[in-house]
Amino acid sequence: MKRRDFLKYGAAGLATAGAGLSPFESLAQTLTGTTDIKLGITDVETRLVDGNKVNMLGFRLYGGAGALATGRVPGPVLRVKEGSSVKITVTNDREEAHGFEITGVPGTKTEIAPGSSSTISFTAPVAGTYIYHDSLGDTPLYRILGLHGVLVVEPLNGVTSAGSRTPYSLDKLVPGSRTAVSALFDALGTTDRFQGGADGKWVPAPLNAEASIREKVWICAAIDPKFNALIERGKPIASSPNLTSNVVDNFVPSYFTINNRSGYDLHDDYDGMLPVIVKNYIGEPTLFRIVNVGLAHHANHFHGNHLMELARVDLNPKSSTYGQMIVPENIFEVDTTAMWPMQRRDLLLPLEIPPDIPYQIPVSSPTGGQFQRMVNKQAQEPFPLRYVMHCHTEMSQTAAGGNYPQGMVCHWEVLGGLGGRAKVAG
Amino acid sequence: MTSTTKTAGATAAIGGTLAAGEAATQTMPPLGPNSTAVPGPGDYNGGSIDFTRTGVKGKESFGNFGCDTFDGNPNTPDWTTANAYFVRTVQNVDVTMPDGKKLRCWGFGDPLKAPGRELLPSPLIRVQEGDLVHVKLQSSKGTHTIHHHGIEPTTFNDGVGHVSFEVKDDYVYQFQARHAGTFFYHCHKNTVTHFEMGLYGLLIVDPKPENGRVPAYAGGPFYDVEKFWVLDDMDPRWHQITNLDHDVGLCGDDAGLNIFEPKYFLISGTPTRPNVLVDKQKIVAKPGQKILIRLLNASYSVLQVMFEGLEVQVISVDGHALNKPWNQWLTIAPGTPFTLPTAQRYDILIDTGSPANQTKTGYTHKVHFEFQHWITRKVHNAGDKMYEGRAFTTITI
Repeated sequence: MKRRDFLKYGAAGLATAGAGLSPFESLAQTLTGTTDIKLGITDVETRLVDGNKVNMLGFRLYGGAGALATGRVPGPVLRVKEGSSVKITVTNDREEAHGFEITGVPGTKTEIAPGSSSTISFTAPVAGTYIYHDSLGDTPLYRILGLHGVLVVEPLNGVTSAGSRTPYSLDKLVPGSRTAVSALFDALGTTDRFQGGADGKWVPAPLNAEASIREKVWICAAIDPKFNALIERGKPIASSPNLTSNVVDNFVPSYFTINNRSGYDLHDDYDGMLPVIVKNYIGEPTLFRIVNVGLAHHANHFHGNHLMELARVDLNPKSSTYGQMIVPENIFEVDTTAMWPMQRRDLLLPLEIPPDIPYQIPVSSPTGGQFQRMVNKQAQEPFPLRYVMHCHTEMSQTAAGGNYPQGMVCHWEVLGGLGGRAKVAG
Repeated sequence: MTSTTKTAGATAAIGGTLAAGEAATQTMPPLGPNSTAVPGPGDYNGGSIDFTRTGVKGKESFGNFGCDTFDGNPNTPDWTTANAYFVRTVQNVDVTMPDGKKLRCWGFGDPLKAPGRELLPSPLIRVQEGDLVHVKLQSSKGTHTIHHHGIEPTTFNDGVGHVSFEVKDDYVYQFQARHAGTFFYHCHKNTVTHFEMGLYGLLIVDPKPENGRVPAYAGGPFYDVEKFWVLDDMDPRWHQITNLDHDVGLCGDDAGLNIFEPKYFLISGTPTRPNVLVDKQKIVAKPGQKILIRLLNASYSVLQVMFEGLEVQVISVDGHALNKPWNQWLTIAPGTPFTLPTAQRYDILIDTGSPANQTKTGYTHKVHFEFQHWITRKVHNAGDKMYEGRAFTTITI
């Protein structure tokens, strides 16, 4: 495999990202105060981490900016308020029929003939993370070719009795879940472990943004180029019943992505991309909304902090709550989380001081900890601390059959100690 | 190895206050109860570090992301004295598989405590909550690292090459164990192959003793019988190509590492065909006793687990006890299957005297494992007597 330089994104893009301007402002404005969303289905070309290119199908956002206007994989992150009326019109620019569905939301399934449009209207469901995708013919084919995105529903009553904001409508949870969610979000900023006072609380992303400092959306997927080879711009998708009659059994992916990037292409975020990397200070808890639209069973492992497993979908067909979103009464703290196909999980990265950095030095008669020495610039090891996140089902760490770790791996950063952002801002 | 092999002596430490001489004069504290060796002169690893030769300050590029990643033998930043000290080497270990073939695996060796003991899984690292731990890796067969999975130290001690460095000859990893629970350690170099080869072992952090006994975690339950169940699957093709080329696939060749077809299935390092149980796999307990199982999925399969006959309780997940205000023990009814993704740990308590279990004494109960394909979820090689991805062990009360 040829190696390549990372030249795709120019200095202009870097400058924008570095200045902290939101590349999503224009999208944001189109979504403000409206629940009338217009999407298109179109061709997208993706350059993989090794320089090879594949054809994909993507959603574009009418009124969006940059890649969102022309078509992007994944589709735009849509945010709506629970209980609001939502209208989504999907226009199909391709030469074959497509579908649209928001899994777990009744009345959202539709079909769109080539060159035409279809509109769905629904009431925004209970707060949580949803997947919209093309499920035409009940096959994952179009989903794995790129027609997927995330809908976030914000809660109406997400604030605990102690005043902490959460991602869930607390009045709609069973008492045990309400107690657990409240206990966790109330603990943020108020304990030795989760410091920061009022600034140490979780803050939701604005309704008009795809992501924020304390909230990221990760869409895990995998690419098997022989399926992408069926796509030709301007022509109906090639017929290959041998391949498409059983997509799962024929799927041998060789690229593994988050937000359609992998390996070195995930080492930082640039303008026009759905951001992935968390760069925060201690005491800035961050929510990940992670979904898996691919067909591989992933085991996402975070270094640096354990995460709290919030909502998930019950994917056990034998369960009485099969298909439902579960906000658990029992919130596990994990370093590895099961991301099975079509799983949607919310996980809280607490941004606590990585717990195993020596905290009592010397151990015989402690006088201090290393992290504080780092904050005081008295330590050798500098900030930022960079911790990887990767799938531990390690086949997903490859690209084109090798090239570890150019697969589903990224990282997150601890920029500094408590209150660091305020200090930097001066 | 001594500090004479260290790099970057001429470069000033960045922000360093622990100059080499200062650190060297620190006195060694008393040895922790679970350490395998007294820290000695070989443990000293302080001094200056050139972070620009590592992923910390080095310029990241496509080339050094995996193929030509940072390597060296740096000093340990902010080195301080430890009270638990371990050494790990890299060894060959050949395992005879049920079809009579020998499979080349790699394991971490322990030259200090018990050379020659079993290497698959690699020797246990067991420390006590609060221990300041040093693990010295002595690489061979090219570079390696150790990532202490679930332990959360600084980046330099986390064992990931492209954000820090891979170890050419030796390095002393440093961390202080905060949470009592079940962790593991593994090589994080070309992890897709090195983890598959067997470069992993359990890491257990015990809480401090309470009234002379050690519970599962501080304030947690005491247990009478402890067992480690580490589940693994092996694809012989992977072992062949990795043994030939320790860097297989790294710099661009298609080694087929996106395709994993395991033929051998192991419980705690012993193959499960024929399913004749050895002592380290099966549990024998007396009525009324409490059993603690530390379960790790070290395979590349979706692992389905099912306890026949017994009610079990998950008391800790990934080394974090279920004793927080937002969680509690999870009770799993007899015969209910559950799944574990790769690398997850469950600490499972079985109270043989509980109302649900006390009528189950005098029996042997099976525990079933299914290794399911990471895409299709089908059991590997279903129906094949030699290579089927099913296994069991037993609990006798």
